[in-house]
Amino acid sequence: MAARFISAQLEIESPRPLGYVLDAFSGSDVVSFDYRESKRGFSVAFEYTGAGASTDPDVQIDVFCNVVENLKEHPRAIWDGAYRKTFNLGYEIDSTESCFRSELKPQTVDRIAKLGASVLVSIYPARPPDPEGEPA
Amino acid sequence: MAVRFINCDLEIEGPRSLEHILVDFSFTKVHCLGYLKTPSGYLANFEISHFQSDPDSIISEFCSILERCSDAANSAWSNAFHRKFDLGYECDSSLGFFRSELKADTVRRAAALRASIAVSIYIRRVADLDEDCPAHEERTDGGTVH
Repeated sequence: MAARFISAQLEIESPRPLGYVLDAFSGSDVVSFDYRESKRGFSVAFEYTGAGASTDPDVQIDVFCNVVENLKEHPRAIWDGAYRKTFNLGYEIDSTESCFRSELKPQTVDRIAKLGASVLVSIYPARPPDPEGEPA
Repeated sequence: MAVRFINCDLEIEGPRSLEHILVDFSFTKVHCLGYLKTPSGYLANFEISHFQSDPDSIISEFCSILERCSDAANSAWSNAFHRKFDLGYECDSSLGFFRSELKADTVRRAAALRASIAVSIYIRRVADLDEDCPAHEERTDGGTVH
């Protein structure tokens, strides 16, 4: 396997509750996880679950952008007021010697920019094989 | 070492000569790694010399330089069919976890320049790694897996 793109996640940290944003994502190819409330405010992460997962960060970010670009006024105000909006690109590596490359197209970079989001690159070690033989 | 950020290159490929960009860059800390004629035009690779830092700072520095380019260089840049910031990461067999972030403002500047952002991951055996070797030289033996 060497290295591979595993998924894009969208992380939001906001001073205001994120319920309206969660609602906007319901029904899309995205699931929310890790919703938290802290002294600083509220945070949530979303992960793409639709077809094409593990193949192309452009495809996954496109789904997130479609939802955010079509947010209604109130959830859009929550999005705009969030402390942090980050597209987290996750890559998994094992110890097989190799090179790997993936790319965000200029159109995708432009959409991320227009949403005021940052881009995070996360590189994780490959998960060890499941002892019961299930693929990791 | 596990995982580390090694460098961010700027790759430009265009149908016409990129010499105006090379000239403008020659007055800055940008260093040309290669300039070739290809079947589809011209291809140039650049890095920022003596700028060991994080990817966000490097892309910001490239953007600052590009935003100040001459009209002739801007024209060559605009006519290019590929403008890419390529973030290189190197991993050894001890693996590990690593994160690096491009700030929203940096993404906005890269978008305004109509550039793509690539992530390249080079996995090496520990014995192959030489901390003294410049990053661009370390990369020459690697293929690309899509």
